Amino acid sequence: MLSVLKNRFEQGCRTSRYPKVNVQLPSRYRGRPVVNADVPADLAEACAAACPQEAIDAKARTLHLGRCVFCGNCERISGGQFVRFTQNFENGVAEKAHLVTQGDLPDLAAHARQHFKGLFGRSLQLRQVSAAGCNACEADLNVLATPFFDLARFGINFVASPRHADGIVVTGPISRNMKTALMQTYEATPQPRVVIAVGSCALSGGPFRGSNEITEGLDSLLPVDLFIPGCPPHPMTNLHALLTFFK
Amino acid sequence: MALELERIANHVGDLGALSGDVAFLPPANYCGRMRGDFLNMTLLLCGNRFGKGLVRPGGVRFALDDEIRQDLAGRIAELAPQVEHVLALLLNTPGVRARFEGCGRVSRGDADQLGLVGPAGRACGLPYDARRVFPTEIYGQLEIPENAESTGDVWARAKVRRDEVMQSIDIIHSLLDDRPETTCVEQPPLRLAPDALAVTVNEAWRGEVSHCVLTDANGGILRYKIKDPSFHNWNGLSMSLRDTGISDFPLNNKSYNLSYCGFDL
Ligand code: SF4
Ligand code: SF4
Repeated sequence: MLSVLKNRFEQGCRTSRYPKVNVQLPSRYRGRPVVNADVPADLAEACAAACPQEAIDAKARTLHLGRCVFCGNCERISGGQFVRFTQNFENGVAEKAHLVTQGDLPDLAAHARQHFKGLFGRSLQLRQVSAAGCNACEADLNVLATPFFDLARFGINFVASPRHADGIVVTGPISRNMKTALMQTYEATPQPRVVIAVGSCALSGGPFRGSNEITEGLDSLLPVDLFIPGCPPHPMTNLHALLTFFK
Repeated sequence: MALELERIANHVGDLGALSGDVAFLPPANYCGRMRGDFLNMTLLLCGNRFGKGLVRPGGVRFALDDEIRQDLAGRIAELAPQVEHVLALLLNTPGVRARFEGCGRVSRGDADQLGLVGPAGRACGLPYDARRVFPTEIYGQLEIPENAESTGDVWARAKVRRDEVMQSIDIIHSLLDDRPETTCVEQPPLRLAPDALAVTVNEAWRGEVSHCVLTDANGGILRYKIKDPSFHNWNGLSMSLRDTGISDFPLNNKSYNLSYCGFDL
């Protein structure tokens, strides 16, 4: 017992004061990219050619956040001239079209489905479907339950059955073998239900794009309400998106 | 260093999950938080909590500078005693020990025949550790203990992890002090040797990971195969579960913590 108390004392209170106090991520963290449209065409093209995800449109000077895996190649090649990654983790969007960007994402709160706020603003139960990803997306959703993020203090929980859930959170590129399970989970969730796609894989197929074993984007199967880009999205990105969209 | 940070984060997380499974909640919560603190060190190193973007063919893309070195050293110094105390709390609690001991026992002989790897193998007395047997990078200069336990139960799997966490913390300490030089590689256009077969072996946190690549006459990739440690260890879990009650499944499952997709990789 004494040892329990001693550890309790040593651990202290670790819960972040976010959203009241913002969280600062380290300088190497690659958050929201900002594209500089005023660069020579050859630089933009070199970046587009080096992008493993075909996420850069050199002509339009835009970047597809749903495809990007935040590898940082484009930033390196252009020395930060064309693409520069900021420490801004607020990357969630409500419309697929918003994923193609130069870095100025529309205000998520303004695009959130207002009726969801009324329905789920005080209590939101989510079922996670892990559909063939690398598991990093799932791991960084999982940590939202740890003391630092403490998602439950906002009334949001992950539950063990779609029957208990208000919506599903899908990660991974949805392999052929996971498609049926995913669709059944969706059907088993009572209406009205929310669909959230997390990570480059669920948004576009991610690093698996082009394979005929996977689905290139959850939105081709289900109506997606909230898109959270990243590979994986930082837990703060997930937290920000959930709070802004539902609160 | 990245590999050791990954090992610590996962072992600490696993020990927390084991604690949660026997309904001892304080270490479960503390471990969850501390696991995150170690992932954040990888974030500090390379901008991604899972080390994505760090390793490139031929080396790494991010070097340690003095600022990061100091930051890391400070964080480790603060965390090390906390980790030590929480893990001591977990393993010294009689109720935890009673549940862990004798649960899901696998004999050394069975483990050997099934080819168990990583902490699961070491818990059964198989000292194999790729860091010691096939040392790459700086591992040849480090003393990696054998860490072999003999009881092959959940207790042994927990204890191996605890020992490895403390050793990995020491390894990182000494690497920070020794200041090995890191030079970054840029991503050159990748030219692979034609008609070649390359196999790599590394000790990941779950055990031996092997990558194998086969190239064609033009240096293009013909086949690429990854063998995950879970491939070996799922059979260990089923061995652990022979003739046990269903209530021992969750605890045994956590004590292996295998990858579901890794099995058929
Ligand atoms: S960071 Fe994104 S856009 Fe840039 S090269 Fe990598 S995947 Fe492409
Ligand atoms: S988006 Fe990236 S981190 Fe997420 S599952 Fe896919 S590969 Fe893994």
